[in-house]
Amino acid sequence: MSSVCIIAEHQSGKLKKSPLNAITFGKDAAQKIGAELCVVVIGHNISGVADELKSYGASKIVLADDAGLANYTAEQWAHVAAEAAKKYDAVLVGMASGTTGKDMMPRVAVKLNAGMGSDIIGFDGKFFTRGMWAGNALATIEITTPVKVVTIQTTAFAAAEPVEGESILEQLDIRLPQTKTRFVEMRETVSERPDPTEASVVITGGRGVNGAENFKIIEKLADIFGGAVGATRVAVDAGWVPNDLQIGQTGKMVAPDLYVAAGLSGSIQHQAGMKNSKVIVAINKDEEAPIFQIADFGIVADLFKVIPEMSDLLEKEMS
Amino acid sequence: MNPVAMGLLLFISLSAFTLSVVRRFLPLFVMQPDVRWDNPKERVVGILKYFFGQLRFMRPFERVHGIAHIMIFWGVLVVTFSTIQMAGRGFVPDWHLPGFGDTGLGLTYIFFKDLFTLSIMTGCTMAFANRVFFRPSRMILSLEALVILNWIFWMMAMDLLYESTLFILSPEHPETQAAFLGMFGKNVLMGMGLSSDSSLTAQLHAIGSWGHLMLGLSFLNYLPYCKQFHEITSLPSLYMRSLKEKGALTPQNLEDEDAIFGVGKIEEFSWKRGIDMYSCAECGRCRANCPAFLTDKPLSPMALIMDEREHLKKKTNLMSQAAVLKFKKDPEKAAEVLEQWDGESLVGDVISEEAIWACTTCGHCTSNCPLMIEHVDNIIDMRRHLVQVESRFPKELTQFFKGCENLSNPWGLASNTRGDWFKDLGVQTPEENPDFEYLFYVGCAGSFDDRYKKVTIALTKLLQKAGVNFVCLGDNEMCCGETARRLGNEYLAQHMINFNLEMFDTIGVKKIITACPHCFNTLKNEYPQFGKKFEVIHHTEMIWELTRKGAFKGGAKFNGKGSVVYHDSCYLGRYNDLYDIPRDIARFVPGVKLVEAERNRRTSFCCGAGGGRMWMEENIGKRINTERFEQLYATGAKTVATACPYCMIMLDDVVREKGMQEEVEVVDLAQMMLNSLEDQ
Repeated sequence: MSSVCIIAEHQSGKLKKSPLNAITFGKDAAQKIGAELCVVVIGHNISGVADELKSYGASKIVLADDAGLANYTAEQWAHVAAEAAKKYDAVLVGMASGTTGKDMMPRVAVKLNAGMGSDIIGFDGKFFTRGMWAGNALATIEITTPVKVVTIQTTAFAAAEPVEGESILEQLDIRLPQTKTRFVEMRETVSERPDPTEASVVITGGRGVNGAENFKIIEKLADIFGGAVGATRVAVDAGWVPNDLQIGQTGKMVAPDLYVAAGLSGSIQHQAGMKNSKVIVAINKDEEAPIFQIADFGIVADLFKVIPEMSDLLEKEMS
Repeated sequence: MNPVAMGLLLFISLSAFTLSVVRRFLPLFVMQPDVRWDNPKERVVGILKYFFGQLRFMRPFERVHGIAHIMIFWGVLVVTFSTIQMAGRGFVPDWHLPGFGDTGLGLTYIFFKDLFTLSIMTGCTMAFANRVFFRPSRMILSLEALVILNWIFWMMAMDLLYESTLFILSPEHPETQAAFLGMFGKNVLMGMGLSSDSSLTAQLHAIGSWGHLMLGLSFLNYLPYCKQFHEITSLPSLYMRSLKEKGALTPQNLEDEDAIFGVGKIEEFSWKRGIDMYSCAECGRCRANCPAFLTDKPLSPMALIMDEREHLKKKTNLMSQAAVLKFKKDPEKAAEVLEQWDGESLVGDVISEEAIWACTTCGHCTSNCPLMIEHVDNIIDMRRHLVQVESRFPKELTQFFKGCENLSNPWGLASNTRGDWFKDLGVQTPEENPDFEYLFYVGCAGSFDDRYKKVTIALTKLLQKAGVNFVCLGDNEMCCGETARRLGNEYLAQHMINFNLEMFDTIGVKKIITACPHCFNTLKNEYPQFGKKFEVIHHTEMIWELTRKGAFKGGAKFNGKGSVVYHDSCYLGRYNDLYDIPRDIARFVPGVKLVEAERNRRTSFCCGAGGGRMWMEENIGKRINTERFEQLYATGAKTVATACPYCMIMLDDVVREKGMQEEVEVVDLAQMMLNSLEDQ
């Protein structure tokens, strides 16, 4: 039986959230083309991840566990993913459209001699849908090769829910190829919060926050959601927060499910970095601030009053 | 004087000089073609103004140095005839140029020769003192410069010694009537005990003449190896100066398959850039008002040219070989030879990418360079290479390019909302009003940026008040391409330019009003490169024209804060010479007290946003907009008047950053005008 293969990403031995959205896509696609769903996990010491994946209704969980795969390199992972796809007779191979997916899936496509579609938001069994021109147009595309490779826009698909029954776990033994790149070392900035580009909730503070110390209330609200902290250029320039948190034209581009803009006017430079967020909540004392023009919910009030209240209510609600 | 010795001296030194000059110029023949001899009349007029007239030395920031240069330059022009005569006298005693000698002309010449000898010696002393004691920040304290000044000084001192001793030896010499300096020297020397029959006098006379000639001829041979080579190259360099509109960049032919996209290697520059490199005299006038240099960015226009010159010198042998092969009609072999270069690369090693991206294209360098070196085009050449060949640029620009490519605005906002600002203002489109007189080309900032939309609306109201028949394109307008062009993305720029041109053609545009000096400059000076010329009018020109026609009665009163300082936009002022009209508008508003910043008009200081800097982070040195705001704030003004979206946004950002919104206001002249009228 042919299959739909979804590659699942994980970090520090834990399953990431994005594969669950990709699994929803995969299940739906498998049903539409009459194939089985295989979820492929690549790495080392990740049986926990594989076990966790068993409960989402895939036919098979394919585990490629090798010490040589402990650290991600596009060349090796693409090789393993392509070999898995061949072994399980995949007609469609997909992965969430994150940094890793964008990095390795084109290579997988080359290895499988497959056509590729990126940032897919829909599939009807034959045609794929994808956003173009910064989301201003939708394109319907057909991939005409026997095997098709896609990256999946996670925001277009709900996260898969656990179902009854367990998937079969199969080990995949693959000889790792000689590669031209090798992993040397990993240096990361230690942050307990996710990066703004990856978080589903981003709380951003601007000039109105007025000081590094005051950013704590922004951070607290972000932590309640497990979200990220963002900042405007002014806040970064003033040294209140590190500059890798800057959102905007010359900073990071984000599109989370929820974007809270606190104490920022929403200059066009800032809007350029966050206008694609699903729900935008603006808090500003100045009711003429341009941010209210693009906000779904606007609160004209002092952020020092509103945000702590929000945090308290949310904490109560969640506990 | 011994004719054989003189003959040998002249032969050896002039041959050596010729060889040096050939060595310098041969490499230029493998550089790119560039026609610089069209329009001879205008070129000759330029020579009169800028070479003989020395116009660019009579400017602010000069203090003594400009005068010193004029004194030396004119002096050398005059004294050269005397030096030629002196060399001739090595063969024929008392030889003189035809018409000179004991004639009215000859004696007049001697008077001026003495005058200018004095002028050169004084000029050298002034320049020396200025360099050593006052050290203007634009200059570098170079040993080479001091050696050169001394060399010239002593050359003239020798000439004076020759003349003074001549008059002791032959007291009846006809030139004694005119040579006041020589007579003064004679009296001094005689006072020291010299007489016509002492052998020392004759010896000093010989030392004077040989000294002058030997210093002169050795100096001539030193020229091609030092910054003073500009004595030779300045005349051709000024004659072959760029005659294109100041605000226009050289277009790039995208259709030509052999075209080189920008400049990544020194030989990919036009040969004129090579002459520019030799011409740079390291005076630093280019950086006296350079916003990048003065805020500690890794760019100094002077160092740019000097570093390129050093690189050119290192590559001279290879390029000369290639040039010879090219003369032998073997271009393939020539290209192979050039490929052998394995030293430093022009872009990256010689000129750092940070320097290339630091330029705001404010144009002060070129406009203040006495030799009219084209720094901005030079930098854009290299940006074109980086963007179009290597696809290497500051990462923030990805968003800019993407936005312009997909939606024709830098922010990547939906292009169908471009005309949203005029929904409720009763502005017509060309479909609604095909018989319009003016197209109001709004531009990206005026269409999308909330701060500048207010200016767009103010201008619309003024035009409507005055009954001007105009239309706006709304979402049929594309970005004008100015910034993409200055960022080196010529392909993207030309795509937008051609789209706009077709649109203008379809609806029959003849006159265009715009509220953005960047759009203004590009529409006016660069669109004609693509075959269409329009009457392009900046909004300040339009407002002033309407005012003069009496469309607006003097407003009630200026309702802004304090006195007003007008900040010149580079692309309005330096590039298009619009200095007075904006000030006239400000003064027309009753109650306005207009003050000037120290750096104003031609020496105005950039806001920091030009050349695409608006779209890049500025993390090195002081922020240019902060520096400029502080200069403006120092005037005591509480209202900063602007006429450009970039200037307004950059300066207003500083006001906000400093939390000074209550104290200082940044307004456009259109807003200022409208506010005063609406108060009536």
